[in-house]
Amino acid sequence: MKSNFCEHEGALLEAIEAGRWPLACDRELREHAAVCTICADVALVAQTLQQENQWARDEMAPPAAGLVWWKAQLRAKRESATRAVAPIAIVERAAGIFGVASIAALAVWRWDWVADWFTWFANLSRVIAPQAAALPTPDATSSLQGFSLLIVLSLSACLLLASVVLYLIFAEE
Amino acid sequence: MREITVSEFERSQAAVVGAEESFHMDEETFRGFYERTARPLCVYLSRASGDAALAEDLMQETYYRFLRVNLPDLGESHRKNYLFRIATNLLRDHWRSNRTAAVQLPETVEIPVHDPTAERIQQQSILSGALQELKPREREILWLAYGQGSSHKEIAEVLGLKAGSIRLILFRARKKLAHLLRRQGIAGNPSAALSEMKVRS
Repeated sequence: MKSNFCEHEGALLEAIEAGRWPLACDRELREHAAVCTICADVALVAQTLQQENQWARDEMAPPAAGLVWWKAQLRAKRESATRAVAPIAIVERAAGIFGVASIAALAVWRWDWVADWFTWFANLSRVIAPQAAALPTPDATSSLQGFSLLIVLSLSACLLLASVVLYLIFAEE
Repeated sequence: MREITVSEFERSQAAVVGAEESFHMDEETFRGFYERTARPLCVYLSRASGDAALAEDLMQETYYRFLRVNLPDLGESHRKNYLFRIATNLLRDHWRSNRTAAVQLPETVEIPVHDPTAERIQQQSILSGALQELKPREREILWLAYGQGSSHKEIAEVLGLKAGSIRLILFRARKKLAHLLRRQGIAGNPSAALSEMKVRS
């Protein structure tokens, strides 16, 4: 197996970094590098990249430290503000979803009431017609009772939701 | 977008104060650290990515993440390695998200107005072309080892590799780059080194 390391690598890199390579360094090292493929590669690559690094450092103009610090602070503040209001938005969204789900569940659970309610609306014109003004029909009475119950249940659900939301907000604070 | 309520505003203001305290170093310490690390980091990102504009964006992101992370009390060299590690990870994320598009390094290097030497321009162009043919990790490892003079241990910390595997990866990457440079006519000219020495002295 071929070796991937030469014991002169360190000395060679040191000479390149110090700017002694090739003419101001030991003759032995130069002679070795002429016959050692590993050291020849190290010399070529290290010299080229170090030179490029030096040129690039001279060319590059990184932004001022103050600007980077200011941008970082600004971003941190924005992220913190977003994080701070995030629970409220989550609670609001959850409450909305819960409310809609409750109404849907209630409608499914008491579908007979909802059907009565629709029927009552459909017959509303007949119920409030002058010729039937004297007394509501027995059907309409039961529909109105169902309607009232629905309103009471909806209000109760809203109150319950509101109390849950308030509890979550204050508990978080 | 919904309007912000008074209580939400108060909460956000409290968070702003928290944000200022969330950096693990104060402004003065940061300025000192930045002055010591910004230029090498900028060069590293620029040469490893081949895109100066991307390097600038990643630099801002690197320092931001560095400031936000809850670092234990590290020494200067460990802090620097950590900073370079963040930059390397950001570079990899960028490459991963742009996997379909091959990394495009410029065919010719941007020539600064004050640059007087055609030899330098030619060498930069050749090096840029050669680096384009290497894998991102090879570019990173070569730049850290020979551009910045980092030790194997430091490279391992930055790249998240085992220190023992650095030598072999470095050997292969170096061999590849040397071959590409020789093919393009760069052969470690001693006279160039001599003139460089004269300039330095």
